[in-house]
Amino acid sequence: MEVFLLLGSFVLFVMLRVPIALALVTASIITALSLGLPLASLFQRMVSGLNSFSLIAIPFFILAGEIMNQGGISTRLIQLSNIIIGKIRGGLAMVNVMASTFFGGISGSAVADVSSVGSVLIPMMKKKKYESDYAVAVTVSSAAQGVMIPPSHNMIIYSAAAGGVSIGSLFLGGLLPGLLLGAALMVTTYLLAVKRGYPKGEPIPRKEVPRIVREGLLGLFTAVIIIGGIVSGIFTATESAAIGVLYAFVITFFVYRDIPLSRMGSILNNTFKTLAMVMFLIAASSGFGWLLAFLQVPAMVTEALLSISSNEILLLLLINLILLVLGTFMDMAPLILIMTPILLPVATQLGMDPVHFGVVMILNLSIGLITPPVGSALFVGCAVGKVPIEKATRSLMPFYVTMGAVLLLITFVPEIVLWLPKLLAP
Amino acid sequence: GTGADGQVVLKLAENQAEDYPTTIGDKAFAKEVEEKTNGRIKVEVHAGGELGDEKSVIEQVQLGSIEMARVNAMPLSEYSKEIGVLNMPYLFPDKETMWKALNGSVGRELLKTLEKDKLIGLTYYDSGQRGFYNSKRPIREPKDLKGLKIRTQQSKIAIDTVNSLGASATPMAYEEVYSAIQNGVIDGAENNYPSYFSTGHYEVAKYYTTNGHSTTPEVLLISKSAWEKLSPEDQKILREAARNSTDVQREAWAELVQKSKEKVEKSGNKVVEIKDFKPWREAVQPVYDKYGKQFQKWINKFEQVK
Amino acid sequence: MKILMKMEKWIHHLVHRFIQVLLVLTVLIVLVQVGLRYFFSYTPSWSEELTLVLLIWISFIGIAVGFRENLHIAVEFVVNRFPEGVRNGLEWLTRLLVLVLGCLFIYFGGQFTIMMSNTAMPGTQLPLAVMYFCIPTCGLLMILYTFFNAILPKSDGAEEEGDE
Ligand code: NA
Ligand code: NA
Repeated sequence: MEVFLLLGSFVLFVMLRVPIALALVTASIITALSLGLPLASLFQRMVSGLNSFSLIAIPFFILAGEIMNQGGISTRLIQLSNIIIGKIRGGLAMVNVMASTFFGGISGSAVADVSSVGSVLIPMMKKKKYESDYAVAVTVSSAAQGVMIPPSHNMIIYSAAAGGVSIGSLFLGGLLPGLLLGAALMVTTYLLAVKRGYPKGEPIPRKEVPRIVREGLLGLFTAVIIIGGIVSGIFTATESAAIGVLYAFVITFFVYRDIPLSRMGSILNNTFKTLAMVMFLIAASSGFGWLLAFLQVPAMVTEALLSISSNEILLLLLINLILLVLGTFMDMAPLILIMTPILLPVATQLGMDPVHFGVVMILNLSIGLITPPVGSALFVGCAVGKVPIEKATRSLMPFYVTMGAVLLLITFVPEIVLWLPKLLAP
Repeated sequence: GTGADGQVVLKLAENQAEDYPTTIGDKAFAKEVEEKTNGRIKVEVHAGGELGDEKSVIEQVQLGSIEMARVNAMPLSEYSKEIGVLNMPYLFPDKETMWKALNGSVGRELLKTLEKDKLIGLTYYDSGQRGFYNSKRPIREPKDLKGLKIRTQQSKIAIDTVNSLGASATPMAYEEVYSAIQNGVIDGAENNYPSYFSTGHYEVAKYYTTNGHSTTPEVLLISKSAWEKLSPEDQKILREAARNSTDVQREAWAELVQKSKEKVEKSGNKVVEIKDFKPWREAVQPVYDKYGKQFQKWINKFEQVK
Repeated sequence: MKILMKMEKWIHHLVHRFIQVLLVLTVLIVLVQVGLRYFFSYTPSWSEELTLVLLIWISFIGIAVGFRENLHIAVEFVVNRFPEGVRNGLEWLTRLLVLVLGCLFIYFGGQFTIMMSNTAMPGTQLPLAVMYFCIPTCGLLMILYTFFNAILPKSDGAEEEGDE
C-alpha cells in the first residue's frame, strides 16, 4: 500500500512541476508519516547519502570542466579536430563529433558540451550552408556521446547508487563504447554529408598547426591525468579529480590565458549551481531509495520482471526499453539514482556485470538527454541553434537509429564494455 | 513496527552477506524469538547493508526507525563513548577470558551504558583477532613493522595502536586497499583472517601475522523505543535468544576462520604465528597512557575477570 | 521594502562568498592530503572527514540557494498545457512545499542535531552535530528565501550575483 503512496505521490508532484528532488522528498515524507517513521531518520538518510568520499569527485570534475570551459578549451578542441578531420566531405559536422569526443574527456556534462562546442560550431555550420536543424542534431547527439567518455560524474553517481562499483572500472568500461559511438556518429554524418552534398572544411594555415596541437593536447591531458591516476591506483578517484582541478587551473590561467584570474568567482558560482542541483537529487534519492528498500520494492520488481519471462534477451530488451522510456521524461541523474537499486538486482540475476549494466544504463539515459518531451541537451541545442524542437527531432532520426544500434551492440556484447576494465583495472 | 493482527515486526540491519557468521547469528536469534513467542514477534533480517552502512544504521536505531542492528563496537563507540574500551589493544590476556568477561556481568554492565544513548545492547558477537599483513616482509615482532605504511581504520585508538607498534598508520577507505597495496601506495593493512581472505588482500599482501592487537567485538542492538514497547516477558525472551545466538555465531566464526586459514595457506602465503605476545603488549603501552584514564573503570573491571 | 531588498542581497552575497571559500577549501585539503602521503608518508586522519563535512554543507546550502535561483530541475511539459492561472497556482504549490520542508528541516533536523551532539567523529573528533547542523540551517535559508521571493519584486535576485 505504502509503495503506491510513495511512487504515486512522487509522480503526481513531478507532473505538477514540483522540482524532481523536492517531489522525491515530499513523497518520502508523506510515506514516512504513513509508516510511522520519525522524519529525522529520513533527513539523516539524506545527509548520509552524501556522506561518501567518492562523491567529492563530483564537485571537482564539475569545477575542472568549468575552468577549462570558461578558459576556452572548446575552441581549441574544435581547431584540433579540424586539423585531424576537417578536410573530409562534411568536415565541419565530423569536427563537431570529434570535438565532442574530446570534450567528453574533460567534462561529463552533455549540456556544457552543447552550450560551448555548439555555440561555436552551430553558427559556423550554418554559414557553410548546413541546415540549422541538422547542425543542432549533430551537436546534441555527439554531446550525448561525450557522457560515456570518462571522466563522467554520472558514472560516480551510478557507482554510489550501485553500492560502490569500482569507479576506475566504470570509467574504463565507458571508454570503448563512447569511442565506438563517436565513430558510428561520424560514419552517419559522413553518409549524410555525401548524400546531401555538404562542403569540405577549410584548411588551417600551416603555421598555426603546432600551437593548436600543443594547446589542444595540453587540455586533453586532463583526462589522461584523471583516468591514469585512477586506473593505475596511484590516486583515488577523488584525489585524481582534485589534481585534475589543479591542472585545469594551471593550463587555463598560465598557458591559455584567455581569461583573467578574477573569473574564478564566476567559475566557482557556476560550479556551485550545477552542484546544488546534483547534490539535492542525490540526497533526496537517498531518502527515497531507503524507503524503497524499506518497502522491499527492489525485490518485488526483480520477482515481477523475472516472472514475465525467463528469456534473458527479452528481459534485457525490456530493461533497455524501460530506461529509454523513462529517459525521455526525466533527467539522467535522478533516474540513475532511482532506477539503479531497482534494476541492478534484476541485471545481476541475469548474469550481467554491474560495470556492464552501468554503462548500458548510462547510454540509455544519454539518449534520453536528446529526446523530447524532456531532453536537457536537446533543449539547449535548440536554443543555441534557434530551431524548433520538432524540427530538430525529425533531423535526429538517423542519429537515434545509430545510437540504438550501438546500444543493442553493447547490451549483447559485454566484452566491448568489460574488455578494458578486465585488462587494466586493478 | 506493528504488523497485521498485532504481530510485532523488528527489522534487523546487518551489513554482512547472507552466509556470513554474524548473519547466521542474527538468523538464529530471529528463529528463536519467533518460536518462543509463537510468531508474535518477527525479526526480519536485512542482510548485505540493505538498510544502510553501519554508522547510518546506528543513528537510525537511535531514532527508532530501524528497530535492531548488528554493528561493530568500534563505530558504535563514536555514539556511546564507554563501549570504546573494547577498542583498546590487547585488552584481554586471551580469548577465553575475553568471552568469559563479555558474557559475564561486566560485559552486561558495559552494554547497559548504551542505554543513555537510546540503545539497548543485547549481546556480543565474535569479530576475531586482527593481525597485520603486508607485501614486503614477514612480521615477527613489532620492530619489523618499522617504516611500513599500514592502512588503518578511521579511529584515534586504532591509529595510535598501529603507530605505537612501529608502523605508519594510513587511514584509507576499505575499498581502496587492494589496489593501494598492489600499486605500492601502502604496504599493507590489518584485519582478521576471514577478511584478509574474502577481500582478496591475501593475493597482494603475502605476509600475515597473527599478532591479534585488536579484538573489538560486534554488538547486537535494539532501539530503546522498540524495547520499551515490549513486555518484560518478551524482553527476557529476546535477551535469552540473543545470548544463545552468540554461541551459534561464534561457532560459525570459528569455522570461517579455519576455512580462510586453510585457503590462505594453500595459496602459498607466509603466515607468522605469534607465540610470545610480550613485546607486542609492551609496545602499545603509549595507547594506555593516552586513553587508559578515560576507560580506567572498565579496564579494572575486566582485569578482575579470571 | 528597500531595507528588505538590501538584506536579501547581503545575505545572498554572504552565502555565495561562504560557498566559494568552502569549495576552494575542499580542493586544497584533498591536494594537501595527496602531497603529504606522497612526500611524507603521512596521511592526516582528519582530511577525508573534514572534506566530507564541507561537501555536505555546500550541498545543503545549495538546496536552499537552488530554490532561490530556480536551479532544481522540474518536468515542465505537462504543466505547459495548462492555462496560465493554473500554472501560477502551481508555482505557489512548490513555494508552499518549500516552506513546509523548511520548517520540518528546522524542527526535526534541529532535534536530530541536538541528539548527535554527544558523539565524536573518529578523524576530527568533532561532534556529528557539526555535520547535521546543515539541515536546520538549510531549512532557515529556505524559509528566508521563499519569504523574500514572495514579497520582493521579481526583477532583482537571480542575476546579480549568480553569473557575475
Ligand atoms: Na566525460
Ligand atoms: Na558536438
